[in-house]
Amino acid sequence: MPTLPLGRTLALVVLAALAAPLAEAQSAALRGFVTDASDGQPLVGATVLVVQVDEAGERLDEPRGAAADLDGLYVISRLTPGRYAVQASFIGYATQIDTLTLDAGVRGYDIALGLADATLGVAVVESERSTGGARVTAGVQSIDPADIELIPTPDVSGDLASYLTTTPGVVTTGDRGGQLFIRGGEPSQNLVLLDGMAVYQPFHVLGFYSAFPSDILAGADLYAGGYPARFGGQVSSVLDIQSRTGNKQQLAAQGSVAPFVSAAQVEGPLAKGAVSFLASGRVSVVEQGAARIVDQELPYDFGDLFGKVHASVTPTSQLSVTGLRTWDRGTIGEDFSDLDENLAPPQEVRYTNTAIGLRFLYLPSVAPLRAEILANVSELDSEQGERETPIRASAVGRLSFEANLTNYLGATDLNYGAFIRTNRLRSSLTSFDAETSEFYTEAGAYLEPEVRVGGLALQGGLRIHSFPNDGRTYLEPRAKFVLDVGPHQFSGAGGSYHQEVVGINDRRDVANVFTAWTRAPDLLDGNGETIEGVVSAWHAIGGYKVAPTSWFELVAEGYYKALDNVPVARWTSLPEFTTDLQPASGEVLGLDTRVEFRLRDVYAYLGYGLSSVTYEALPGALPSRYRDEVPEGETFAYRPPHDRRHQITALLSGTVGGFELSARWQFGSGLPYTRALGFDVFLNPGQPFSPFDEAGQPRVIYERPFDGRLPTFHRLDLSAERTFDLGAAALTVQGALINAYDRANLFYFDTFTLRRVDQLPIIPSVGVKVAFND
Amino acid sequence: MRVVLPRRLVGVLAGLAVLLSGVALLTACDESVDPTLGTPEVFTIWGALDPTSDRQALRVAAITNEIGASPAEIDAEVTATDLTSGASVAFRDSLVTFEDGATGYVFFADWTPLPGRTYRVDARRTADDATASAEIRVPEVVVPVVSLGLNTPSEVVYEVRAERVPRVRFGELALRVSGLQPMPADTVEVVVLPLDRVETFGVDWGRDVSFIETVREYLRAEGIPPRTVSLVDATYRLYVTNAEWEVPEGGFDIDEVSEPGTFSNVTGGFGFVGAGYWTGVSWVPALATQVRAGFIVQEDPAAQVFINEINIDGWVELYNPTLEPLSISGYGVEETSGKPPTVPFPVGTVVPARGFYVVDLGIEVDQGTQVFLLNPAGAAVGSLFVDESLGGEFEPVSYGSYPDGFTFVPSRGTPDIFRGGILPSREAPNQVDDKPWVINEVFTGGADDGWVEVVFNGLVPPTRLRVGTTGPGVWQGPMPSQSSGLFRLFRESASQLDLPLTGGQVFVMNQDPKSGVGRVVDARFYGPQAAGTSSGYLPDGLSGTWTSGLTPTRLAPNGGSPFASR
Repeated sequence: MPTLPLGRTLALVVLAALAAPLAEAQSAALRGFVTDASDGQPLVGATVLVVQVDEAGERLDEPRGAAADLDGLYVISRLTPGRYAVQASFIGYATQIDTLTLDAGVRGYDIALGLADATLGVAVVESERSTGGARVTAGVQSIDPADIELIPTPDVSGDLASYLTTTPGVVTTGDRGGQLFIRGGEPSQNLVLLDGMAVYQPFHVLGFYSAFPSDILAGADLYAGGYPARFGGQVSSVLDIQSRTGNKQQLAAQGSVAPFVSAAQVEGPLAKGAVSFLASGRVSVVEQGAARIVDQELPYDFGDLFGKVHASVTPTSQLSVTGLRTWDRGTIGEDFSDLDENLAPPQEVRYTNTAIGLRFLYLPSVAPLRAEILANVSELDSEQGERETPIRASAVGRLSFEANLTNYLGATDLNYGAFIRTNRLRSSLTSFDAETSEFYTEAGAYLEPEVRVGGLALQGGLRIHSFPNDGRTYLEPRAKFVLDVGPHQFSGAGGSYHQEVVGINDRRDVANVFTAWTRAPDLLDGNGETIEGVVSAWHAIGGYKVAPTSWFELVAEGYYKALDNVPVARWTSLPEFTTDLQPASGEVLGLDTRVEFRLRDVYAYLGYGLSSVTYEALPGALPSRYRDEVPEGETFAYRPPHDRRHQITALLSGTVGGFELSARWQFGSGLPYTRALGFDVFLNPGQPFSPFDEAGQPRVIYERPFDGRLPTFHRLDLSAERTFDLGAAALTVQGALINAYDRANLFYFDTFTLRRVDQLPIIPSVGVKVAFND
Repeated sequence: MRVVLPRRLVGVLAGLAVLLSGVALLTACDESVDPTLGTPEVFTIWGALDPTSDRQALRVAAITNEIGASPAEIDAEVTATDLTSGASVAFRDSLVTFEDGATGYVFFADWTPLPGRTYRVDARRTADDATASAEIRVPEVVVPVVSLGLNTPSEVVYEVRAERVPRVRFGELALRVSGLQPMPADTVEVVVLPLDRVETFGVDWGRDVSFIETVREYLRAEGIPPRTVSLVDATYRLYVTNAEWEVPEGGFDIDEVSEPGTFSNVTGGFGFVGAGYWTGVSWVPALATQVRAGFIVQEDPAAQVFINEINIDGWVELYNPTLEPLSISGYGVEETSGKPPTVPFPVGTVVPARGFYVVDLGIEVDQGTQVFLLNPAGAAVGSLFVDESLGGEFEPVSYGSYPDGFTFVPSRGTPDIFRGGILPSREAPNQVDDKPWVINEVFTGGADDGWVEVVFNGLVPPTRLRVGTTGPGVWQGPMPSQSSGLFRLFRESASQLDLPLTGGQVFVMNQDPKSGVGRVVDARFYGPQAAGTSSGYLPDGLSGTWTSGLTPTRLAPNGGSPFASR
């Protein structure tokens, strides 16, 4: 592994950053925030165009432009001082045009756009698409809350989790457990950030829900691979979520009731136009609601609390404080102890996420520079077993400080930053073990220049990530390009990734969702030598997008991931949580294709994911009776249990008679599983036998692991929703039919009992939401 | 209400139609899961042949396609075949309901495999003759010995040794104690060093037991306050296995050995059939050692010292049956008790372990003479009474215990069966002066089919004699079941005469036909014995040499060649 002294690298980054503003001294720059005039919220994706004009208003040059980012910030730099016409537009809002005189230096210009009103005759421009499942470029899918609302769920409000499961390349093992596998990666290899805070297990125990209801989101970017240098520490994906700010103009509230969750939300100004708050809470009512509808035990209890205060401190700085608390309790497997007293009932899993963070956004007046400072604390506590006497427990947490800066240098954006974190890991993996606790520190920096030349945008990147405690430093190159040629767009991304903290989860048992977090364990390689089990990966993505008409868009993206040192559980005939791990390498190949149609009020989306995940492991991971089949010194290949070869999602939504109708159909080819050859009983030969007294343990005689395929999965979900205007309030009524044709989709197959556990059956639901000033 | 555009409605409906037709197509998809694939292996067998037990048991499980649904009957015939003789034993099946409610088939046979022999165990499915088999070599039976290794102020180490054992898998130190709550009056066994892994492979095996540290640790771990329980004796047990019951590389990793086919000697099936037996050695630690380990001892520390012999010349022999030297500094042997000894033993006087100490009292010894071992305060910690009831017939030169250190009074007022006139044996093991009956041959079959042959060695045959294995045992032992000339045969029985294969000690007791007074006249350690052989005098009687590996010849002169057929 190449290593560089951390101090020297940081010094280089800082020098590069300091040199950049010098070039700006003689030019002008325009920047500001684009917000919604009615509630002060940023208008993400709003377009600001400037063009130099003479005194008579005649155009002197080609227009230059920028899109507002998640903060609503736009920056247009390297302008010749002079007189400029400025146009700000966003779909659904009245376009605003103004004329400004720019001197050398940075000029701040905030824009508040009002809603379009046809009666006023204000021009309404068609912005580029700001929503839709096809907004994918170089591995990044931009998710708008409006996209989430299109997905039928048994709830009036949408949830990010439901949306993610419609995305090609995202695999879940079922509708319970909250485990997402993104383009071949493991759940613990996904980095989930909310306003820059890590949220370790953001998905609730019931698969429709995450900690992120669409009502609190400003947007999210799903980096399914090839993510840029500012992200690191996880090798599969990054889900970068921005929460929205509360209403800065007036108090607003909403509450909803549905068979799965009930929710309440309130927001409003603390100082009108400057400081706002947003608070949201949800609690599950599954046991009281949905379980009765399906007449089936659904032992799940979860909920989340979210709060955010956002302040525009000065015209050039913003401060926000975000807090999140989630809790989950559920028993994933089924109790088969009635069949055989030797089979223990499944153990309850509980986990809570806690995160609180501060974000400070600062725009220095001397240069077109954006500085973001993040300080946050997050923790995940998980345990399994009875509440008073858990059989195992694990916790992971971190205190993080991070600075991200962007210098806007005309056609070049120079992104760079540094971070330092201290992490704590705690675990107690059996009821006999004392708890182990470990602190460690990580620090690093990145440099990420982005250059735009004509239709080509090139982004390079270099990340240095260091773990001083054990002297490990990773140098990770990253790259990305986007080339627009007429209606065609070509893109690519790639890079190197490492993961120091791994989540150990026994994938042999789908129902066991308990994850233990630990530093990369030492593993034995094929020669019996101890190796540092730091998971590493290389990603490569190549994409093509075409939008030949305004109503059709197609995106196809091929990807490749090479994984190394993935810890996999050694297979044994007595399924139980094990920390006996073997290193595996992995190869993920796939093609995600999305097609989108927009015909007036009808939106249709078709996604197809083709994927192949292969792990190569040492023979030690195999049951010993199959080890001899592997030639000496070689590895064996297998398909891990999240290798879903084909995946189709079809989404159709439209408005009919005031009702918003949505239908989603999902299909997934069968997941690998291990079949049984037969059953017998096991008595431990490690001690003297006592045949008359020793019952022994029922034992499954397995075939070679993961040689079988479970049945295909498919499901149709339907929803209809209508909102009634009641003056000060709006009443939304939603009806949904989940698993409309009552497909018996397999959740897992219990090889011990030969009993199948199915996912949720058909669930009709009705939900009601009342919103005030929403 | 908005006007619905027919075109939009048509679009939505058309889309839904396409979607649902696709759905209809795919709903026909197979929802089922592959059944169990099946395997050619028929049975899984677990268990071990035990050459010290008269009952063998094997757990046999049919390899099924469904768990938790054991068939009401198992289609299996289980046999064990001696590969040397070809003799075969059939096992019977038994559906056992275990403590946790689970059920399983255990096949058992009232039979003892012979040490040194190799057997093949077959489990045959009668429907198609598919068979799971295992070959098992049965180890020789070995008994460990114990000795004192280290005796320092802080620790007492006992050395347990066994010679010529193929493999020792486990050892455990068990103590019989009394005073434990909630039933302090009961004597119970506690294992203070459970399944102490002593995996060894080789000819000679040894284990050093740090007694004081081990016991203290146990009492602390169990929360037993010191000085609240008393010790009866200590036993170190070994589990000896055949060499094939090999410890896998990396030990018995449960994840590894639970894998079907791993650690298996069964062909045509799974599981493992080994051969092994428990063997052990018991001893009573010195009272001083017991106190140091944390036991309560209410007797005098020298109470284990035994007045073993008194001679007409006025000397008295003390005997220490323990493994440790016992101090008798300040003690004394006198004819009266209640006052401190007039001639106390000097400082530093010890009775060596399993050794003797002789004190010359210069007293006149006669029927009715009684001597006491006095502690420094004058309390009697032991005594020897020259029993008048034995007078009249002869005038012994010495009076004492035979064998050394034994004493047992069957009932109040009756003489001690281990005491009487003996040959003078100053500082040497005692011998009776008259041995009318001699233990001539011992055979241990394992399945309650052992026997003891006694030969008459005297002039006038008494009418009654018994054979037993311990003090009370010999008193309650059986009468002879057969006789032939000078030979008497005593058959093993579970209730009266237990002859474990691992060996032991047998006694023969001569009983006076008139008074019923008994006296042990011969004692013999035997075993463990090689398969199918006996131990005995060759030639018969005291003129011979005690020899093992004899061809059993009950009620007939010894002398068959070793290892000839029975």
